[in-house]
Amino acid sequence: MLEAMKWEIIHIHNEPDSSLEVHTVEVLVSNIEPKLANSIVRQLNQLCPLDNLRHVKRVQRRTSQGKVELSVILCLADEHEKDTEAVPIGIQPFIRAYNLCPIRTKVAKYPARSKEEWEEQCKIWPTSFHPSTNCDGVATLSDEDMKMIFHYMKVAIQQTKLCYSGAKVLNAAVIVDPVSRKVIASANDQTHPLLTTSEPSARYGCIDRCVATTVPPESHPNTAGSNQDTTLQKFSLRRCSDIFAGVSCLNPWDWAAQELGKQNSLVKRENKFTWHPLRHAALVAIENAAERDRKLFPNSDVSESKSEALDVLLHTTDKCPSKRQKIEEQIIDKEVSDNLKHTEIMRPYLCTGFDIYLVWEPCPMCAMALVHQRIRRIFYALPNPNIGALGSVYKLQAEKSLNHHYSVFRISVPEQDIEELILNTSDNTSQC
Amino acid sequence: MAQETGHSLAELRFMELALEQARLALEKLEVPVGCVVVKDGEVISSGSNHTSATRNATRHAEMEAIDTLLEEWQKIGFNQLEVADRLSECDLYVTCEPCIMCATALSILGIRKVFYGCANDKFGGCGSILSLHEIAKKLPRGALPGKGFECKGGVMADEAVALFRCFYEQGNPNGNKLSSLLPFVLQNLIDQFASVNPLDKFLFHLIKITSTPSIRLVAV
Ligand SMILES: [Zn+2]
Ligand SMILES: [Zn+2]
Repeated sequence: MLEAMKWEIIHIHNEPDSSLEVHTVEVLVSNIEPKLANSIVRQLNQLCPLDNLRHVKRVQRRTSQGKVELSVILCLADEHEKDTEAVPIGIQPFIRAYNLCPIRTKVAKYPARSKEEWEEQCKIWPTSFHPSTNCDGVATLSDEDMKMIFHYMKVAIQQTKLCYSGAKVLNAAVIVDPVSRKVIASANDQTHPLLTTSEPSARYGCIDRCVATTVPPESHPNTAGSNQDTTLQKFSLRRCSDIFAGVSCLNPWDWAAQELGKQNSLVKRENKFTWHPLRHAALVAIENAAERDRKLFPNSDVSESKSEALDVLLHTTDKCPSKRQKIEEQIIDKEVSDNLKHTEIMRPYLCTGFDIYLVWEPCPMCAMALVHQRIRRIFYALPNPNIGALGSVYKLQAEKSLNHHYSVFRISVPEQDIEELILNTSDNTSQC
Repeated sequence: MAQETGHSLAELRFMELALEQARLALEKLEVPVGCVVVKDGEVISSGSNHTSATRNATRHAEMEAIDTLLEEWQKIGFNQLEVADRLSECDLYVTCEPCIMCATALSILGIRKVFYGCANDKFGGCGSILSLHEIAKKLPRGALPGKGFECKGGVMADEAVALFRCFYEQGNPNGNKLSSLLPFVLQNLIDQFASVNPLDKFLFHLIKITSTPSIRLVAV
């Protein structure tokens, strides 16, 4: 494989977008005499420290016609003040003393997170940029971690199930416990009905169309397999977005617009729905993880025994002399609480500590479901420009009001690898 | 008491039924949120929060009611178009503002109108945090037929909040029903409604309680 086509992990920050259109603050600035700069800045730092704008440089330096010009930030401007030259009373004497003329200008509200952002910011007012302190979340991952992450993303992509006769790629979700490195649950989209092989494939013939219009068959002499497989090997993901139409998070409103098969020819799923507009892969995976939880830790028994223990405790305390009562109380108390501690350690709260691998960036419904279920990290491979909730359209991880915040990573997978991973699984899933 | 806020009798009647569902949840030690789905002036489905028993924090009242409805309609044999048509004539009454997840879901389903009780300052998807009932405005032009729905909040909000308060009181040391479930239940409540304003002071207290072993709660 080419050196350039590497798998990469990109951390999607959970700060609000620092786009300058939205995130600037107004300040009052004034030109100053260069030789007075030191003393003015020293006094201003005491008089009006810019505590929340540490990334903003106090002084701007420009050269115009060979002459150095300095301006300095005096203070934050009062947003509600209509008079643009109004100066807070506190620094009025200072301004008079140095004969300054304050004007309003804008500066970046948040520190830059990339070099590009920083360059953008400096166009309006200079800021400082510290790449090392802006930890990107990827730097802390060990090689071992990366290996595991790439592995499970592969697992997820392989699970997208390209079904030629019923021909769709579905989103796939894999929930993983990164400590035990075990799969906790996995799922595919279940928004559309699975079609029996007898269903006419013509209406899902997008792959044929793509192949016919974009890739001449002779250009790939090295493909093997049956005729159908040969055709399949040649579609291009980039040019054939049609086959993604069935990905629930990409097109959540499409469930009702689907062609209608005869309902009785639909394949029954294990659950009670043959199709369900809300059964996106992430939601189904959460459901499967919850089911596993209930099976592994059937809590009714545990609670039953505990209330029994309590009854005993309360019963004995009624009848025994107080000394004995106290001792017994302590013993039972300790026993039960040890027991409790034990089960609490064994049993995670919802999906606390677990990661989820999604092939496509989730929609807001799925992204919020993952907040509710306390997922620790989300990895996705392909952005969702339609309605992605983790960076593309919304940025749920930046909503400060939410009670839980996961880390979000995009794994950049070379297109060729995605094609291969999807296509190789088509063989295993040809039954659908 | 609620009449003074200018809600129609029908709205109050349906919200009362949603509150009834929330009370059912309360009895089962679930976070007391309930809802009903109304079509042609009749309740056709209902649901209440079911997150503790299922260990699935996405089983909100709205999701429960929708699943019941879809299961029924699929049994009858309705196809996607028929289901979509019917959903577009449905209104939802829910005791607490739908969260971001549920609001998106309701938009995906194409429900007509949502009436809710108290606002949800922490997760609300109908204006409090995000405005997913107006999701169409966010979509790239011509990309998707994103549906929005009308929203009306504040219908019997006091009653909805009072139920949360009951939930807390039920969670006090006297109940024998409270066992190892308690920390889960409380965590759930804190998770979902910690910033529904009138609840704040209770919740600070709850957080303190949950940090002690639950057995002590009962034995104290
Ligand atoms: Zn989704
Ligand atoms: Zn919800």
